[in-house]
Amino acid sequence: MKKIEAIIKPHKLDDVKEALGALGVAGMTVTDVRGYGRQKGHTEIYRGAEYTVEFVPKVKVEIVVDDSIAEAAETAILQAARTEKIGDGKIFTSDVESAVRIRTGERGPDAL
Amino acid sequence: MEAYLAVREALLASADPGLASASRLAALADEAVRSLARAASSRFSGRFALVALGGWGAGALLPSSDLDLLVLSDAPARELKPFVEAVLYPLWDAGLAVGHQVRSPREQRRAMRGDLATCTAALTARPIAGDTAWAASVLALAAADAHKRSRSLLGELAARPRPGSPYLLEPDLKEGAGGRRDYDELTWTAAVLSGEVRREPAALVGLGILTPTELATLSDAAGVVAAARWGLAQAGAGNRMTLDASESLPDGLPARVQLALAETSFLLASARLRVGGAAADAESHIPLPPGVVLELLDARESSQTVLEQAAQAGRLDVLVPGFRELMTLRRPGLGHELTVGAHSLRAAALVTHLPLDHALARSAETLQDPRALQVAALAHDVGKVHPGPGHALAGAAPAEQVALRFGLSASVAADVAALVRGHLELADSAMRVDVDDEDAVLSAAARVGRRELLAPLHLLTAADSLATGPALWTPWKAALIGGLVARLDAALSEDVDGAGLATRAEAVRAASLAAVAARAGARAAESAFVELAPLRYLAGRTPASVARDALLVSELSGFSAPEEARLAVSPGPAPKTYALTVVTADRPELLARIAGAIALAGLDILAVDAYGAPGSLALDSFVVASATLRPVSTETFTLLERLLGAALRNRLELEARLAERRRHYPARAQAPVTVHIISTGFDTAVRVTAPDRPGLLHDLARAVSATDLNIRWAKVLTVEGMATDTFHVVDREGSPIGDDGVVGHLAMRLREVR
Repeated sequence: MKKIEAIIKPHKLDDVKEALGALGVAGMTVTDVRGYGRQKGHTEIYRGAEYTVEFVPKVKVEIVVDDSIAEAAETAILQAARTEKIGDGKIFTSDVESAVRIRTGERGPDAL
Repeated sequence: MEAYLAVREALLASADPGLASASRLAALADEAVRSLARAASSRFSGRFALVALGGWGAGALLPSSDLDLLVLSDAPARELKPFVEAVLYPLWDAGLAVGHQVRSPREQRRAMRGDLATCTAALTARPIAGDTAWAASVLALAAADAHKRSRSLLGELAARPRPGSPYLLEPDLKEGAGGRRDYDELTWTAAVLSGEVRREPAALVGLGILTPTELATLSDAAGVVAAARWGLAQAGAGNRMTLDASESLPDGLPARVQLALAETSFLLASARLRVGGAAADAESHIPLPPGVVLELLDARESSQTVLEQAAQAGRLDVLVPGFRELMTLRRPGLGHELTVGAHSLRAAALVTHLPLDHALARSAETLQDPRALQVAALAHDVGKVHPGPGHALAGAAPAEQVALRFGLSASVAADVAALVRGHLELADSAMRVDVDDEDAVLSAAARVGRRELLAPLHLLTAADSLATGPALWTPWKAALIGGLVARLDAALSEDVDGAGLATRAEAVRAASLAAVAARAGARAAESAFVELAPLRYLAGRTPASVARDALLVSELSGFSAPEEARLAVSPGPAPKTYALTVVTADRPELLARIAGAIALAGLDILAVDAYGAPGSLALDSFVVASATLRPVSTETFTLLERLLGAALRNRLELEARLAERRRHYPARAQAPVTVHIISTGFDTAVRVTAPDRPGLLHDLARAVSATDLNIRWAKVLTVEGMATDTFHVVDREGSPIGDDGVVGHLAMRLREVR
């Protein structure tokens, strides 16, 4: 099993959700997050006043999927979230040792 | 006990929830306790009485209620103990929740003087076993004591905690405002004022505290609340009618509960004022004047209850028709805490007193009409009176009328309507619009309409979110919406006129699509070009010219060779001028190469619009005229086509040949080159003013490209020998130039072009 964490632009959430849904990814966790990467925040000018946005609003999508579709899921997020501009975000993939569905006690991929 | 428990279970399974069933449940408990007392009477020969307290005493026992029992006796505790145990043990063993006190009459009266809860429990008490006449006389004396202390007791009652609000969507039906305790307080008030034990507040009518109509309303409300509490208890829920728990109640009951809570709370507040003799204003149903409403809104949270009370009395309905109905209207949504009316009042009170971050502070500073904003906040959800989506649109026209009733001018009232219509726009767009996509921002700007509406819309959005529930206005959301507002403000500024531009462009798009569709044999690529064309491009075109460009682009669609190009020539906007359109694969230095080829063909560039087209194509439109005394002919364009092909294939010594040409045709005007560079948020706009001369555009575009920047679009105009060239450039990441060093370097390179 793999855990995929994607930091994406907020307006791309629906596209990512749809792309993952098409792959059969049934569940996801979505969190409002703020941060910066290479973008290092930016400056906004509103009515002549300049202010710095140090932490840019993003959305974090977390899914855990079976190894067999991990690459496809990663690609789906990549394509759905890309605007080809700075700030498109990042995707992190890592191994997951175990998963348990609390209601039934099922373990491993069956719990996903 | 078995028989009692069986009957109780049967009653719980079959009873209609409500006060009648609560009364039957109380009677059953009475009988069970009486039986126990009879059975235990052999263990005690002294005088005693068993007294039901609280809700049980008032004859309203709910499935989840405790049995609060007072054992009244003069006997010493050790003599009484076997009897009390014989009564209580079977109840405990049956799993019933029993609270009990054993007191002498003297102790009971002393306890009532020292503790409000003990006092109020006894004010509705009911002797059920033993010497009930004696117990009744003891309780009567205690009630008379309470009457003597009525001033302090009523003060304590008025100060008791009433958590929450009757307008909460998830109210506490027992302890919360408007719940059972409010009804109880009226009963206790009746007991204190009359000096007699009371089990309902009916005596308040005789005392002039309630009217018969109000008493009937109050009784109905108590019945509705009891029915809901009964239903919640049966569903295993507590006294809080959560949204989940409310689904276990019969259809329509939660809405009736909301009304019951509001009415109970309202009548309690009225009764308290009447008891205090300050009832004149509170009893008034005279509509509140606009100025008073706005003053109360200015007073923020301190006046929230006053405004809610007035709204529940219908005193806002002349200004906002139907507002009383909104006060108890439930439209639960994610994070929503209050009914529609209470939410609107809270938003209107908050909107001019928001906690301000940078962006909100700027919006507050630029706000022109706080009154209009308050009225818009007050009326922003009036459309919710109709169920289903679209409440913002539905509420716009009524909100305009509200604004007029507040005395606002017709134009300001129209703005209020626009604010109500658009009050979800920023929150929706922030989640859907890429703030780095100029077209998306321009389209959002068109939906906002005018720059003057942006600041109030921003403040209204924040107030609406905060008034909905604190979880809905987070620093994350504030930053997201603040960023969008900054971009929209730039797009709506006078020099951009984003709303007008987007509106014009969409009209041209629609007409162009129709023109393409009407042409026999049109390709799908033509429609695709029009559908994806940038707004800036469309806004400067006619539908006919867009259709021509679409045809040109479609001829090149699918070609992969970068040197492929299409050139179209048509008469220009003025005599002896020509419109040239070039479509080819986009690449670095493209504009420089095309401009160089045009200059070498002996043509002056009078104007340029350069854009990226879908499919990584560039679409550059030029207006040209002869640069010499020779007239432009077919041969000129044949030469241009050849030069263009060579330039795109990099087989033309552009620099050397343009330098040669400059020697023969020097600049006609003498003036310094000026460079002005600003960030638009989407790109960096570089405006260069320079004396025109052969190859100027080529040199400027080349200087931009040499700084490792891409030209997103460009606009060039040459008037009386002076060229004003504006390049909108981005770095390799597609972002505006973020490095001041790069900006300085670019300015230097451009000034070197002489």
